Amino acid sequence: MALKDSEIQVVSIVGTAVLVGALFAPVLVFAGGGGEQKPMDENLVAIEASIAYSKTPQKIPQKKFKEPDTVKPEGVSHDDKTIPPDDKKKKEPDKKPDLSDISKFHHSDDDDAPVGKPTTDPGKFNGNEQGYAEETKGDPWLGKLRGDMKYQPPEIAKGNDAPVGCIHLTPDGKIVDSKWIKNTGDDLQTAAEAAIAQLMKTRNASPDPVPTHLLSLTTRWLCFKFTVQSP
Amino acid sequence: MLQVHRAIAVALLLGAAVANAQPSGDGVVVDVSGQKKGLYPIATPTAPDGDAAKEIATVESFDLSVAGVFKVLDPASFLADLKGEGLGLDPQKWKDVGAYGVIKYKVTPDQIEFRLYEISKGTTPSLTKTYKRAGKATRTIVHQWCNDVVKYYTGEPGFFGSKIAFTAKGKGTSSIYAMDFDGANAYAVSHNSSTNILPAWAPSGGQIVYTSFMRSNPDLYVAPAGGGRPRKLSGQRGMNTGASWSPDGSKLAVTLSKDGNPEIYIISASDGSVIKRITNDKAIDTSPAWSPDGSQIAFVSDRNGGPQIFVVSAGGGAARQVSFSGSYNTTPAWSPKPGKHIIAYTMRDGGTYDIVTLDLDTKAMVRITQNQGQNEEPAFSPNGRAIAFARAGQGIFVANADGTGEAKKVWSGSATGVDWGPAPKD
Repeated sequence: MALKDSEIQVVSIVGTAVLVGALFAPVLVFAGGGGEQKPMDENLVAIEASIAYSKTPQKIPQKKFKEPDTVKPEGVSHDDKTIPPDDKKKKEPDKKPDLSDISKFHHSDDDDAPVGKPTTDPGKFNGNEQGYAEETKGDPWLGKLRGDMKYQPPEIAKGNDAPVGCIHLTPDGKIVDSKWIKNTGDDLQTAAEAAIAQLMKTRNASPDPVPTHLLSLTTRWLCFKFTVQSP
Repeated sequence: MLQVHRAIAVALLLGAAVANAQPSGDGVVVDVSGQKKGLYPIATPTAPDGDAAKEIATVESFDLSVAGVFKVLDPASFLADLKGEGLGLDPQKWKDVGAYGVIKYKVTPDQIEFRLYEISKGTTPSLTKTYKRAGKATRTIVHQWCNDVVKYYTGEPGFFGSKIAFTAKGKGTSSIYAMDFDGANAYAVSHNSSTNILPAWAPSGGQIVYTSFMRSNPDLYVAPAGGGRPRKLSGQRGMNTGASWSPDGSKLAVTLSKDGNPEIYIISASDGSVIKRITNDKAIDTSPAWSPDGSQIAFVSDRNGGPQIFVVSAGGGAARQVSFSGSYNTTPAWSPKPGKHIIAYTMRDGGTYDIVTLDLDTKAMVRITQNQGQNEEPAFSPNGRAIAFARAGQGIFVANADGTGEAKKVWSGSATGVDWGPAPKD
């Protein structure tokens, strides 16, 4: 069976196409022609082949760098027609309402606090009240107050119970009074009394005013429970 | 109306807060937590009863100042009217000077009455003791009282009344001496014109072993602790030095160089015969110190370079280095504190020699001396609360074993080779 010229041409064209496809397809595939593939090493950790350990990229120490302040050109124009701003010319102040008599804005059914006292005024000391733990946790001013006591019972101090003593702070940071609401009658009591005495001596010699957020503590007894840390 | 509702709500919330914040109903605000640490301030005022009273106060304040737990307050600060108070006290007056405890006493020709007050307990004494004076030195009675005070506070026996042995250096000679721990009643144990060094108390307190060159070779001798004719215990060829008694007193760890190189051996305390060789190293192994539980021996070796402290089982075996700070560490001594594994030794720090302690369990080091001359050869008190050591050219000092307080001089003169005897017998 003999092929015609036209049939031979078709077969040769198809064969050439198949051959070309077979030769170039692998090249295209392995050359990354397969769409949006990420670089292979992007998700890999570089390993030093010689000793096979994970390589941590070294950071070169950097000096702290501050961005230079941007200098805004002022009063200089490259446009001859532009008029520089006149600093002397100031805006008219906004008209404000007259607040000399604020009571006229008050309504009889308002439920806010009466006006008249500054909000930092803690009020008078009420000797019947004592402070609460929640408002003092982790406060730096109280932490320093605690530190100034230098509470450290001697190694051989006798006693297991925890004395509880209170002080009366004034807003300027002085301590004007103290009392014991739990006297354990042992060496720990002596240590606690020494701590309060030390605190009073330190704070009355150089008072550290009570911060605004703790001013409420000046209206009642501020109490301390003296415990012993386990070694 | 709104204000009324708000007030009720605030009251309810406040009530809840109070209930949460007041576990004992006392309104505690701040927890102040401190660790028990440091010395116990105690006042030992002199009773207005004449010379005996002055001696009592002197001995008492010295004893307590080296006990390792007390800070004896300066009498110049006292505010109390001692004559008016007598054997009693006004607690506030003593509180004001920072005292936690106060000791009062009354001395008569027949007896001495002591009272210990704890300021927190007011005017009721915590401890009262009366001692008969008949035939007893006043200082002996005071030592006894101070031991009772230490026992009251710590539960441990005190060391007042114990003795220290040491080498006193003379011109061309050195002699073994013993004395009360506070330097009183010193006496010679060795009686020869040769070189006598490195004394060690037997656990019973009745004997002292030391190295003497009285027959040219450094041999070991045992003598009665009160002095008297010594008996040669070990006269091997070469060195026979650095003896340390086993806790039961039946054996001694010593350094012998009979085979050419100094090694650690165990010998019999009765006849000096070698029981066991503990080390076998081409380096120099010396200065053995038997641990209080008898299981280990510390010694000095230069096997890893400069001299360092090593520990080996008392049955022999591999030794392990325990000192690493400092290039020159010598003269180890074990603390007798039960349950602790603490060694004191001499450490060269720069150009000076200082006493340090090393806790083998925690690796914590405590410096006992610093910038105070050349200090060497530490020895623990029988309860482990104090350390005696020699300071070159100055004498013997006693310091708190926890590094607190100031070291007190108990002996003036050129001394070395300090060893602390056992606790006094009641």
